[in-house]
Amino acid sequence: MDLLQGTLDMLVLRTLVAGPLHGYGIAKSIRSASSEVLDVEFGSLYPALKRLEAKGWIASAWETSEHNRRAKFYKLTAAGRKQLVREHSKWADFVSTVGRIMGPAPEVKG
Amino acid sequence: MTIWNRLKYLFPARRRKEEQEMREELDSLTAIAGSQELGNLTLAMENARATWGWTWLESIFADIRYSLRALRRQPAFVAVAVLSLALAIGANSAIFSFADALLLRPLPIKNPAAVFDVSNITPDNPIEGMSFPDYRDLREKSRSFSGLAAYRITTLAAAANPAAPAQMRFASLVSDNFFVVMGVTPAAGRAFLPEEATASAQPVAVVSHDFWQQNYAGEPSVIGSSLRLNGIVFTIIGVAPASFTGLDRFVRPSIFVPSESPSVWTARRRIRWRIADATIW
Repeated sequence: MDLLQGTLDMLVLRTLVAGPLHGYGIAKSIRSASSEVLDVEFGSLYPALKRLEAKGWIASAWETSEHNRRAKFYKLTAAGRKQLVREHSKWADFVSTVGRIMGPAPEVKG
Repeated sequence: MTIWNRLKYLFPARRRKEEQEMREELDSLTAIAGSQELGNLTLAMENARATWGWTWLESIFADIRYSLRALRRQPAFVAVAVLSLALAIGANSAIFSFADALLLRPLPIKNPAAVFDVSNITPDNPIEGMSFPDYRDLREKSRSFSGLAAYRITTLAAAANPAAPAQMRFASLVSDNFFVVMGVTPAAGRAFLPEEATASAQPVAVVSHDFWQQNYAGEPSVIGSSLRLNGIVFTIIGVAPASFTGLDRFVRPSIFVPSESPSVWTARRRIRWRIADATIW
């Protein structure tokens, strides 16, 4: 399933609430949290990380990964946490509004 | 991103550091996940660089580099293009400076709109202006003008002080009332007196502002000092204001001399003078 436009940043911020992850870890985490439904391309995830970092919502540092390999780990900053709260409420409004309009699946004849 | 953060990415050193950092990060992830998992990393890096916000500038530079490469391959075309541009620009600016002097710039005097050019042209003498004796007659007997001034452009061998070597300079021979009729007040010293425009008078001169700056460094003490014109020692009595560069549109005289001090010019009826009058003010 493709991502809705503009939701990737929010998903990254949400994923990092659990703790610091490296770039590939974030992609894997989103994929598994969506039960493999959402396939986040690393090619679009990586620029998003750089964008979020430039905005100061996430910060990165070199650390040693679980398999004793060096990797750059991203973590939420305080500004990122605030941004996530904002995005979350916007998202909740959006889902409930669209849900109200769509209602239960209609019966379509023909 | 703040302006400062964006500007930082304009420095090549900063960009290299950032690129190096990205390459290391992507290499480390490739080691963890394998390159199959991560897909097109060149594209990922390209898009990450786009977040620095200077892609438009990079593409402009790329376009410039590309066009320079293309031009280098066609030197004959470049030569023709540059030559025709140079000729066109040169011709245009020449015509503009001509039109500017002729049409756009008003005479550098108090009331340019009130000044008329007075000429008597006869079939046997079609040159504009009139002789100095004719001018003198007109000035004495006519009551139609508020003032009639005569002037004539000439060249003089001018030496800024009697000991210095002489240089050819444009000079304006002017009637005694020239500065008064034109409404031009000297920047220093004074204009000519009527008695100074006679052949027997002490030779006096007014220098232009440029000449004053070049030869006397704008010293006010120049008033009363001497200058040699065509071998004759003149006393400087005044400096014209910087705005006044003479009545001729293309020649800017360095020195103003009363018409009759070199008396030989004013006696002849064949030598034409330009007569200007200021009627209205």
